[in-house]
Amino acid sequence: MKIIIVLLVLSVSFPVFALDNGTVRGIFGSDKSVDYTQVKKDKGGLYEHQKKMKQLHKKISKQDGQDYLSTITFENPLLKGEAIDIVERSEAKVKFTYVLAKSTVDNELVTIGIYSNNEDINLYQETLNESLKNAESDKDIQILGITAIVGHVPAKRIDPLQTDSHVFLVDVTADRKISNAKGYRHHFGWDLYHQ
Amino acid sequence: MKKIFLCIVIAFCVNNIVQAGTTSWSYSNYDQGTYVPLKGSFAEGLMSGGPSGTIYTTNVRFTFNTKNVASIIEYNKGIGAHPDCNGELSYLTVDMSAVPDAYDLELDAYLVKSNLPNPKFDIETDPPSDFDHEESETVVLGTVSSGKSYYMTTYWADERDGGTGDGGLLQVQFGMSQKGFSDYNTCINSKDPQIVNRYGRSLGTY
Repeated sequence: MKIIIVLLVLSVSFPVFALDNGTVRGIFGSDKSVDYTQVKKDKGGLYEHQKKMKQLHKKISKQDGQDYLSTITFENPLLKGEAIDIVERSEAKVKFTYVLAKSTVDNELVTIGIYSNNEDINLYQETLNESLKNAESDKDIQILGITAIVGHVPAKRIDPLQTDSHVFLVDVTADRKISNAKGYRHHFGWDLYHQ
Repeated sequence: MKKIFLCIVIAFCVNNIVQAGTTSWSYSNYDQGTYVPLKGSFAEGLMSGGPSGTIYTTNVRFTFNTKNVASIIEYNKGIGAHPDCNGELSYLTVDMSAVPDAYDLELDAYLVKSNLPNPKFDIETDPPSDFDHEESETVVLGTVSSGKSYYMTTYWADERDGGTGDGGLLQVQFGMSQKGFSDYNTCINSKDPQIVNRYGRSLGTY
């Protein structure tokens, strides 16, 4: 009887121990049950849009001192550390972080949006850590990884960011400077993870 | 034995959201808008953590019927008789807002979670509050299905300290939005909010 009670206490308390160790339960990217190759990346002309964006990045990369509201979509859901590295290297001031999760009840996809308004990378990291812990306390979901980041990126960092192997698309069409220009309608299909 | 039982209870409480205080809506017609689900429910919860140490959660659940879905698709394509959205591409929007009793908003939205297809989230602060975020919004760019249960949950940093005016109303309202410069702007809202539910003025209360 005592053994059963001890096991019960340990199983219920496990997330607390995990958080104390600074780790996040359900390591990102370890789940392979979602087949991302099945997502039709060319749907809605997404590759055409990517091509157009790459040309635009070259043009705006010389605008020193400017920054652009960018939606950075990743090739695959990233580990927390990988996403933070990209934010640090790109000097992005992140407003939203999109996290993909799946329901442990019926396997349906769940999207989590984490708000941040921190210009400092350390503050962003702190916000992300805390918010992910909060999200993971819901035992009905399993986090799969970070799929996109929305924030302001310095112009000179945009082109290098697009060439990062983790990055599928740096979409700058939501920026007022671009959306005012003819021919760059914001593309609604930038998200690779939803049909 | 009592100590062990107490440990189990504490461990359970630390790791689980406590649910209480639900409300709902039920309409017999589409006066609120053809895109508004006829039925839905709302629940509040509390959990430890977050920027303030206590997280207040609000959850709305709903199911679309075939008429809702057909209407939403019309809006998405900018077709049909929807003069408020000027025949432009419009997307279903679920708005969850805290309306404080006084100037001082003590709930601060910072996380949104949903199973809606291809959601775009926004968390906003509007005057008079210039620091805490009183509104969380989900714009649905994907195609919804009829008969499926959808939800949207918002996590709020709970900063209430019992002061007069720290309480207020939690509201949920459906609408349709169009792409603006950097976010989505509502072109039509349902006639009334679907949920208007009071929250208390003390930390960790409904």
